Amino acid sequence: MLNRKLGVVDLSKGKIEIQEVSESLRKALLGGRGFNSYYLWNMVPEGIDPLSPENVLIFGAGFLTGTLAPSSGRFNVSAKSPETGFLGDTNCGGFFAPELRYAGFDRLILKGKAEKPSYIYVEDGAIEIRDAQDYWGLDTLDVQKAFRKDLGQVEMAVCGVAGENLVRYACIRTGIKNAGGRTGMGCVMGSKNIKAIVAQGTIGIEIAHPEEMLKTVEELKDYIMKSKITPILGSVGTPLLYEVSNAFGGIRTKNSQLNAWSDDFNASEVEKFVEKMISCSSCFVHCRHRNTLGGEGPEYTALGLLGSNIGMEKLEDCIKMQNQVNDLGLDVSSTGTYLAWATELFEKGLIDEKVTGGIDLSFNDFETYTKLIDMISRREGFGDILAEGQWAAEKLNDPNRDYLIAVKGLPQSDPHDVRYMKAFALGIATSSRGADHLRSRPTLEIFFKLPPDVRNKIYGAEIANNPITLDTKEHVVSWSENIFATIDCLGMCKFICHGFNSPHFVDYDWMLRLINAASGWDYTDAQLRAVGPRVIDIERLFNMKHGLTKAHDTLPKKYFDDPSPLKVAKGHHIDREEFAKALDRFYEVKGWTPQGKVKDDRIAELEAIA
Amino acid sequence: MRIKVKLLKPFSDIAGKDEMDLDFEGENIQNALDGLCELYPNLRKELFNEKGDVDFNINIFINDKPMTAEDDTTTNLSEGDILLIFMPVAGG
Repeated sequence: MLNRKLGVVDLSKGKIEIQEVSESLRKALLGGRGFNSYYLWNMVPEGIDPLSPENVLIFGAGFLTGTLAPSSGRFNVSAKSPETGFLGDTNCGGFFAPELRYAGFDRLILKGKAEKPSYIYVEDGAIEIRDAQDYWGLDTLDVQKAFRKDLGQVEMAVCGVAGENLVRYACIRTGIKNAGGRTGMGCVMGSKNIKAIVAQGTIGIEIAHPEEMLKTVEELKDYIMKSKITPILGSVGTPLLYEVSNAFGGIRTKNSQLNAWSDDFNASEVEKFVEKMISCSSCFVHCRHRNTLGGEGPEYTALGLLGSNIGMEKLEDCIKMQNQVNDLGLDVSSTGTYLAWATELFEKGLIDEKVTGGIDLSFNDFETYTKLIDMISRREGFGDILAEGQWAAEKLNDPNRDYLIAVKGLPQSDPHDVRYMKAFALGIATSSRGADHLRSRPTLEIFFKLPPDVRNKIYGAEIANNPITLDTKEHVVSWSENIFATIDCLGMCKFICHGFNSPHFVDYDWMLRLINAASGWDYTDAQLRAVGPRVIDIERLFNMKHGLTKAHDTLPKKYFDDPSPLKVAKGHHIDREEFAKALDRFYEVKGWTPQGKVKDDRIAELEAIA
Repeated sequence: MRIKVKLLKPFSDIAGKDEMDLDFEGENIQNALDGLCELYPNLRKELFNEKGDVDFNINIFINDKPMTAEDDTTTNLSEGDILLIFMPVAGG
């Protein structure tokens, strides 16, 4: 359990070091996202170009990854982001991360740049840098098939054509659809000439107290399966969210010019394209779909961002596009957001065919979007401009990004229009990697019937039982950030995290039982609860080292200035003054200065971690 | 009283339809939910907890306005109101 190693691969020198990891560091950060952020903070020099060899790229499995712990097959990939210039970090499921641990490693850090296309091969305690010439140019599905054909039943994390061509929002993929989607980590792979990390392992993970682990997992399984939420996630999956959000006018539509869309994207329609439900490693929720059009999904994100957000009227077209985006190795959220951005700019006359190279952009134009997605992945014509993501703002005649739904340069991850649910808005404004719901989404805000005493007990403060106020929501967001960061460090899925989908599920007590059974530690509740805030502060320090200021903790202009036009959310927007006050309160809850900086004594404490 | 009821999954699967006109005896939300459960008895254990209260995992919108924890099920409805019943989930 605690004997997995750190592999440091210097691609420029072709040198590989295998290092032990101290127990004190494990106890401070557990694994996964926490370790990745810690190494980034310490290893990435200030001011570097994210696409230069000075950037480092880290693949790190969670503390419980590869064990029986439910939904624990996850890992994080982290680097300085080429899409934002700030923290790059993405969390991914599938089967790769357990295999990396079975091969003897918790984590790989890639430094420098390989001279030629290469891949990293990891097997039973050994790491090799191998020639990837035969695999270069293949999309994400074909390359995985090719590796399996050549190397047997390996697991891998790969980049697609988009990563090779340095599209700034290229993703990392394992399997057909599992994506380390956010912040352009596939682009960093491409910049280092790395096509894949391929793992094969036979080293079992020793559990300190196997009987206690089995007992805990059995009890936890029963507890999770009793929830009313679990069977829905397992039978319908995330498409249910589309109609939930749409019900009150919370669906990003046509670049947030509207906030509700057609019922033709409801789960009952998606179901017609579902072949079967499948799962990631060690998961009994099985929330993912295999679709009948040759891919997996669509998730809620694809329904929104490659559906309503670009005005699609036909569900089949949306699914075809998400399959295409997945094959090419692009991030669904960013791709859908940038396409919508460009389309609105074209329709408003801010750009014309001179900029687009003769392409006539309009919402719901499946043929043009399909062509453009391919051009983005190959950096051809107008696709080369859009491949720059938010950095194309000047060329798109929107220098202040007034029409882009992004925070800290990162397009919003999910399709939820946050003008009504105010805590959601504060969450995406303050997230360490930009506009992202998976850092702090306090879904319990939608549980309108949750009794106030239950809500207050969860968040440890008196919370306004009203989704349309920012009052007290600093507690809700901060609490959520902390527990989500902790579960990311464990490598467990947020779908079963307390506070994400249910007021039940895996809370700190369950985490503690799993950690101690697996490791044999006598880890305490206080030690566990200190991990999340530590990770958040380290990420804040990384971002500030790379130029982040208080001004970056903000929202897209439209969310402030354009009230939602439809449904319950009609008339709702984020008031700038109220938001500024909420941000001040949020910093106070975090223990940061009024300028959003981590205080000196805390920095000294974090610098002492070793 | 006659109102319109819209159900999202999984409730629509249990009822076999996602939209219906509901005639029920009485005038408030509780009466409407009881009427609905008389037509589709399997909905009762999904909508209510062991104490007989509406489960907090359930969201009810009345004419597009959410019913909150402070709202009582004795809240009166009007002829033609639209009741939307669903379960909130998150994800991406």
